[in-house]
Amino acid sequence: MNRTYILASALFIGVLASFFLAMMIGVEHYSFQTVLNSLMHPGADDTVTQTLMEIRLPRVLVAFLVGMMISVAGLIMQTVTHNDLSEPSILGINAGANLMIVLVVVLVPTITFVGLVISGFMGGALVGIFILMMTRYNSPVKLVLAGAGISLLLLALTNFIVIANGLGQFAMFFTSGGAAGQTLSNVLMVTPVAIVLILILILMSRELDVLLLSDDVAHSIGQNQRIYKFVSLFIAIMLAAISVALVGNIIFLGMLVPHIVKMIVGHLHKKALIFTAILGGVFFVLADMFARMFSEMPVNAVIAMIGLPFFIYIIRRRGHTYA
Amino acid sequence: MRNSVKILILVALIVVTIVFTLTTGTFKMSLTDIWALVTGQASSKIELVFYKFRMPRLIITLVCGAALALSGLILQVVSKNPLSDPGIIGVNAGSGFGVVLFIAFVAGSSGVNHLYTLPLMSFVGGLLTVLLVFTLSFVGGKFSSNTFILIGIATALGVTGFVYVFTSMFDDTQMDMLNRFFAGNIWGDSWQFVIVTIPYIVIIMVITLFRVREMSMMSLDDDMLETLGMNVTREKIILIVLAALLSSISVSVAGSISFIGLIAPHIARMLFKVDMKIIFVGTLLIGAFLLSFADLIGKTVAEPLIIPVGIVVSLIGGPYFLYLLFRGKTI
Repeated sequence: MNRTYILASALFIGVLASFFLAMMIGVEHYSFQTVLNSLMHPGADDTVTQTLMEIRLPRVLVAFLVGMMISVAGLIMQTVTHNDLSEPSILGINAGANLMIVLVVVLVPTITFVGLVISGFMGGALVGIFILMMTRYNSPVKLVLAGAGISLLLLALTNFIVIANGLGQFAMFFTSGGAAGQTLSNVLMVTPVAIVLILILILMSRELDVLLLSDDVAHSIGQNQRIYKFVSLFIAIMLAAISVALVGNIIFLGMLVPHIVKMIVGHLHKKALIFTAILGGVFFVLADMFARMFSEMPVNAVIAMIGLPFFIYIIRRRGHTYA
Repeated sequence: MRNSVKILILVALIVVTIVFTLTTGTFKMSLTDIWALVTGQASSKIELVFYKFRMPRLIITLVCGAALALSGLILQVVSKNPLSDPGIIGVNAGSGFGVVLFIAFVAGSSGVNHLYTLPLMSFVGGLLTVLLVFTLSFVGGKFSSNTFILIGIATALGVTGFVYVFTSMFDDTQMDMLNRFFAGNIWGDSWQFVIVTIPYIVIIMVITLFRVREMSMMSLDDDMLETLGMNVTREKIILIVLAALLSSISVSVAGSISFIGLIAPHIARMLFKVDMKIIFVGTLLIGAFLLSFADLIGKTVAEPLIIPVGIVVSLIGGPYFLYLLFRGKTI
């Protein structure tokens, strides 16, 4: 059988398994039977079903969706910036979204969820423009330093607003990150948007492949790089900004998942995008589950436990190419 | 302009900042009050405010500013990368982790005097983080500066993730305390802290001064330095440990402050070009000026609200950083 099909079926099983595991395990554990029963009869009038459907299910769905979006955003950013370490939080895009969201909440306390997403996007996009201008340096160290510097500046601004307005607890959510407390309606609203955005990227996968080549080669092939860079980065930032509005600033995920996928299925975007999306979802659902098991530990800590060693490993192994 | 004139101007700026810092604030003092202090005829109230509150804070800002700036200079020289800064490569995050551990496990327990525990834990957190990053940056027995920076940034991100492990059990006051640390609030502003930190900082600065020659040679290619007979890895290790000590001591009393280590050496290089000795002195002066000036701005600009000095520094330093990024090829 074809390798791809084996991988695809493995991922499919992974999705199902992680979904049920995540539904079962948490502060309160449920048996597989209970979960299945509740899913079959979502309207049932017992407390278990209500807990599962109103608290656990939205959370698992949010986790899957966000894992998908962040990982895909990371993959695209890596392609566009020609940099293996790019990722929304490292490039400072999350910090931009975060700042704008806090700012808007101060100015318009009654803002809706859609408003948060839009303002997050504007903040992220502003940083994205800087990052696009940075890509001409083509040096991972400089790009990552630029992102870190921009993040620091934006965090200071955010902190200033937070302290001046006493928003400590609200801002905490964005800095620590977590999938808890999202409603099913928000999830249902975001899902189609995310899927459409990812589909557009998959349709553009050939053009994205060309972006992997050096600028000169791409130019001689005759592709208008600017448009594709712009559009794909635009979509990636949108995905990242929606994620920030949903779960706050999630670190490393956008670097980790595309890396693993590229190791397995290669760099061509059609496969890489699909696999990244699904693996990202599974990964984040499981990370969120672990977070729940350890008395609501921030999900970032869980991801960092895997992501940080992985990141260091990559840098050490390929250090010479980054020097 | 001659270098001595530039140094004089810097000193004059610092003196002006000192005078303004001492006279402004919630309790206003006039220049005649200061004069009365000098001649020993001031009222006890003025003496109290002056000696008990303003002087130690001023000394902390001056010295910590200089220390952070020097730490940045060392990192930039060693990594041959003008964008390095102790805050960016994990010192602040590590110190923050120490602060969180303190708030979570120590602050609650009563009966013991915790005066020094907090800065100590913060110092240990910052130092351990940098040393860990540093140890991980040896690839094949050789220290790689770019690896150091990349791992530092990643570790800063990762450690920040861990910081929030304990915050779920924090109440509002504890959260407030942590936020203040990350905003860069000078909390060690009493004489006790001046006494326990300043001597060490000064000693480390002097030790660093003896390595100025090595620092100035670092701009050469590593291979060339080896050929010239320098043990490059050893020199880098010594310098980075010095930088780590300087920045983690400063952060432990002054709170999470970034960008000073980035911009001060930059301005110094712009002003004094190549001679490392003068750049060294200039960096110290500019760092001291920047942090004390930022503290002055923070307490006067939005009175009675005091803006944490770390935020002020970032608001000044961040745009400068962006300017450096966009200036183009020289970075």
